[in-house]
Amino acid sequence: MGFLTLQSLSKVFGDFTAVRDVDLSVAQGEFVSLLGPSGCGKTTTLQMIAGLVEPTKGTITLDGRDITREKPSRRGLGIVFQSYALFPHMTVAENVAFGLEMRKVARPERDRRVSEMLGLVHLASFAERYPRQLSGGQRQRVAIARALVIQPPVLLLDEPLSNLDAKLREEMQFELRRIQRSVGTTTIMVTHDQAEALSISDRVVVMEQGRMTQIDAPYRLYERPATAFISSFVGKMNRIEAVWRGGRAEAAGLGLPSEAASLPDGASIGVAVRPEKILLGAAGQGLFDGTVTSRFFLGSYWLFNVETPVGNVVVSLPNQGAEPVAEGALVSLGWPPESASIVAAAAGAAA
Amino acid sequence: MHKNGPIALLFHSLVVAFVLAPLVVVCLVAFTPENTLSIPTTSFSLRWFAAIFQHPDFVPSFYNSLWLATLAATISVALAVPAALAIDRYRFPGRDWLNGLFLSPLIIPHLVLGVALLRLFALIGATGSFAWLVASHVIIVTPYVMRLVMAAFTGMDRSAEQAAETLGASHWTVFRRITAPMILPGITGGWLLAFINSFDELTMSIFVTSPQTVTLPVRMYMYATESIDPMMAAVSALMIALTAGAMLVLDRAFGLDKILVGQK
Ligand SMILES: Nc1ncnc2c1ncn2[C@@H]1O[C@H](COP(=O)(O)OP(=O)(O)O)[C@@H](O)[C@H]1O
Ligand SMILES: [Mg+2]
Repeated sequence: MGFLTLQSLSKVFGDFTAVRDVDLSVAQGEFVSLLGPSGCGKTTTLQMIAGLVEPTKGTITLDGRDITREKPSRRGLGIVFQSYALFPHMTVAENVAFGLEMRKVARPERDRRVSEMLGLVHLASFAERYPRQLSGGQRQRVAIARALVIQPPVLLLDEPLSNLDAKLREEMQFELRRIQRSVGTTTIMVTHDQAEALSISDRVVVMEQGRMTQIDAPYRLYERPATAFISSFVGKMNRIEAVWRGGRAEAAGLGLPSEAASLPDGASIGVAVRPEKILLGAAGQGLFDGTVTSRFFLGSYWLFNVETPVGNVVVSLPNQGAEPVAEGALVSLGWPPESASIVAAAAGAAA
Repeated sequence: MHKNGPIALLFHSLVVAFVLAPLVVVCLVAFTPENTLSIPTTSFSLRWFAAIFQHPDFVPSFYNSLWLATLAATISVALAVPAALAIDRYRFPGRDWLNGLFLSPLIIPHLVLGVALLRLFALIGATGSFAWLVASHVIIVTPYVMRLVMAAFTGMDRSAEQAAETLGASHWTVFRRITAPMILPGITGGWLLAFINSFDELTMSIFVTSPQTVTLPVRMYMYATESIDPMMAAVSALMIALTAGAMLVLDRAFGLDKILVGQK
């Protein structure tokens, strides 16, 4: 059994089920992300773990102890809120010291642990400032320090980076992972940003409308999305509507290479291929040809929209320095079978 | 911030002048050496200030009003904070009714309240009681405190309280260490507003004060109905000076914008 486990955890608000039968087991020291679009129940799940929302059903255990009905003040978990929730009338040092004060830690030790923690988050010289005198990234680190100083068995983070601008967000992702590694605290982070979830987690839990639909390592999630939703939510994904015929996928009369599957003849399916797995070649050299309708330069790579007999296909190409094919050019597309997975047909798609 | 145009500036100046002009005139009149309400032209005199302190009734009335306003404001804060907390945080039967009850004195004319309370005090034999005078002032100032404290509760970030709770604080500690300091601007603002309203109240107080509990506004009113001399202006000038002084001290000690506006 894991260090922190959730068993068929559910939350119903009135007649609306925000979280439905969530089962999750988190190992000690693990960094797990809850990933999903806004409103899918991530915050509710996190707050049930924290004790701020009472579960309608299910149990939560921590290190073998049932904490489902325990008061938040007794659980001793570290929580970083989306709004940071710093105490505006206290200095950075007082904010961080609050949890230790509640634990009646003696003054000298309290001061030592606060300054140690502020050093860890690189805020040692800001101890006497008030939250209003800090930037977004600094506030966020105060919130992390305040949650970690009590040495919680589990750290819960609710979209900790969503209030930061893009560049800072990327820096803070590494920062967060560095801090988590150095203290080794079991961490659950909520996010709606797939890049964030993939880059810093050991495992990612995908949530859709209150349910958990996949739990996997980031690269496995990316390579083997369990549902059509996940494949479109995590990274860019081409899906080509096809029919299974004679042991292979067929679309617009063309055979599409894909992983093997045992499906009845005539089943409608989707063929999912990542843009970076598609090989762009001279016309007539691949599986089928298409016309480049638009292209975008994104710094480290190029993105092409190619109009083909099987529909619009997005292709990405690393930037090698030279200018690639222009808009309007005729190109061929192809991919090895192992790069395409078979997924369920989109709802309502024509057979 | 962008600059104001000339018309906006002119408008602001006019508004400020309109508000300040009567105060300036009153302060000038207070220094007249004459026996009539006139603006001193040739010489200034402090005789009317001296007259206040020689008058046997003004100083006791001033202390009476000061006490009354302090007690009324403090008691109404003590009532309004828990009431606002309950109304803001909990859904219970009679919640709207309670909210209405606390705000209703705002819409009852003070004249009506005065007459009603006069009858009540006569009936229960409380005429002339200072405690009942305080109670009647609490009734009329509580809505102001209630409004400001409610606004403070509504505007505050609840997650700070939750954060404190998860850090191990009990409910009472959360209130004392987090909630109360965060709504302090609302509380102090409410207290000040209540104090000023009580200190200034005339209409109702005329009915419910008795010779032993006459407040400063009632004393001034009674004096002014009998004789019109510059002593009234001197009392007013003194009040203005006291208020300005109090504001200055508050600002130096705490920062007015901090207690009234909050420290965002
Ligand atoms: N206290 C509440 N009362 C009613 N509905 C709520 C409450 N809290 C959350 N919800 C609903 O539950 C759903 C999930 O909310 P939340 O967990 O905050 O989503 P997320 O964090 O994934 O964006 C939302 O549709 C939200 O409207
Ligand atoms: Mg959320």
